Amino acid sequence: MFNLAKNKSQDAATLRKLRAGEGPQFEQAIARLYGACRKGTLAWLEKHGALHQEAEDVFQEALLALLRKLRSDPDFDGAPDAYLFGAACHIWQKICTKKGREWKMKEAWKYAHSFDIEYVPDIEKPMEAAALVSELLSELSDECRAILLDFYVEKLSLEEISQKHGFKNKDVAKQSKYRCMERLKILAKQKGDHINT
Amino acid sequence: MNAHDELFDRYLLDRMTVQERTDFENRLATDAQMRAEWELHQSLVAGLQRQAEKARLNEIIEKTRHENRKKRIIWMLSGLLLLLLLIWTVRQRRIGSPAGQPLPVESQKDQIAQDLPFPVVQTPRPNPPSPDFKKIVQKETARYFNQDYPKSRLMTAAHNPSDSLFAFAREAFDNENWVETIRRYEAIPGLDQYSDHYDRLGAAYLQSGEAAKAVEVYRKLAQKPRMDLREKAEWYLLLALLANRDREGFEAAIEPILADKKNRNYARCVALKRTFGNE
Repeated sequence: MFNLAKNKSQDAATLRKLRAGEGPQFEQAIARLYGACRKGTLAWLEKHGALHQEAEDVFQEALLALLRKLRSDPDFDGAPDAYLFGAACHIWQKICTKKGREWKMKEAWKYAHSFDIEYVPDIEKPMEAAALVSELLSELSDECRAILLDFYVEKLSLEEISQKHGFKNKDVAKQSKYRCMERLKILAKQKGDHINT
Repeated sequence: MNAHDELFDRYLLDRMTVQERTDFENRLATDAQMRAEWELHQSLVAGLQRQAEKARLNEIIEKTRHENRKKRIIWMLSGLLLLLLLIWTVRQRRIGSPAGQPLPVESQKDQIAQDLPFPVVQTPRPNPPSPDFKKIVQKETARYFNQDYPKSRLMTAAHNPSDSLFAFAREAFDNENWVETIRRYEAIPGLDQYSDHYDRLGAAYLQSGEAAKAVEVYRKLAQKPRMDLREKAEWYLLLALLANRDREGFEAAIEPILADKKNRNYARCVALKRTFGNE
């Protein structure tokens, strides 16, 4: 289906680079995985009913699942290619189940087990949350979006945020961050599609 | 400002002490309203982080795609260039050669010069070496000469002065002293009336390299009514013409012979034509 890394040391090197989380080596590892697994995974997904764009999205989600797995499990030393493919199978199964699509369960799991997938994290909630937040963020102002991303993603302190955005002090930054988060929550509630339900 | 938000953020960003974390988790377990707020807050923050992570991954993937596309284009262009080079090379080797055979080197040079976008100053090409006419004529002359001009068995002295002149010249001829033969025969006035001697003078001219004079003699002899003499003269006329490098005269003289298979010289002329005809 696709060229899995046969070399254990190559796998270990890829995992090490991915664990770095950023930098040229991280990008190089992502590029290697993308080149090695994308074609085969997309072909498999499309063969099992996914449209091309859906398959692309699922593949990216599987990549994110792998990255999250590496963060949550420092001892993970499996084959990243296999994990990626197993995660893609899992995600597609969830999507099909939710959308009531026909899902060839046995066949999917036959593939997943053949790659010795021990643990595929629950990716459904974060996927939906990300999809919802993506939609909600587009309704926020640029400044609000930037403040929220700086605080929750870049993990900047309020002082740093106040300097970056030209606020008088960190209290103003705190107030701004609070208003933006409140706005996000209101929008989320307005959508009526609560991500926890 | 929602007092819980600050707690939520400190918990999420791991800015609580162990004791604070325990207190927070216990409170969540007992306060349903706070748990509901926490779940929404946590989900939104997770969504934000995931959205940012996805955006970063998309960026890397786009970069990878771009790099791959660039590599593919470079490979394709390289392949195309190689293909064009190959086609050009094959074309240079085979163009203009209907049988697919490689062109002669000079023709290839001409072809390349024509294809170049700038004029090429061509150095004058030396004429192809001409066949060694002299050698071939000598060889052909020697082939039949002894048969056509047998030596005299009667070395008798002449009975009159004029007889003695003919015998004198004949003696030089039999001794293959061509210069002396010519000198002695040329001393005899009206020699052309004595066809056999005149014939020998022609042979002496041919052997001594005076091809033009040999041609003149053999042309006259070829008009004689004697068949044997005429046929012999026709053959040696051809050799004399070749020795004189008169290709047109040669072609004109050989044509009627080749048209007549009964001609005594036919077989000789076919062989001779094969030797010289394609040059």
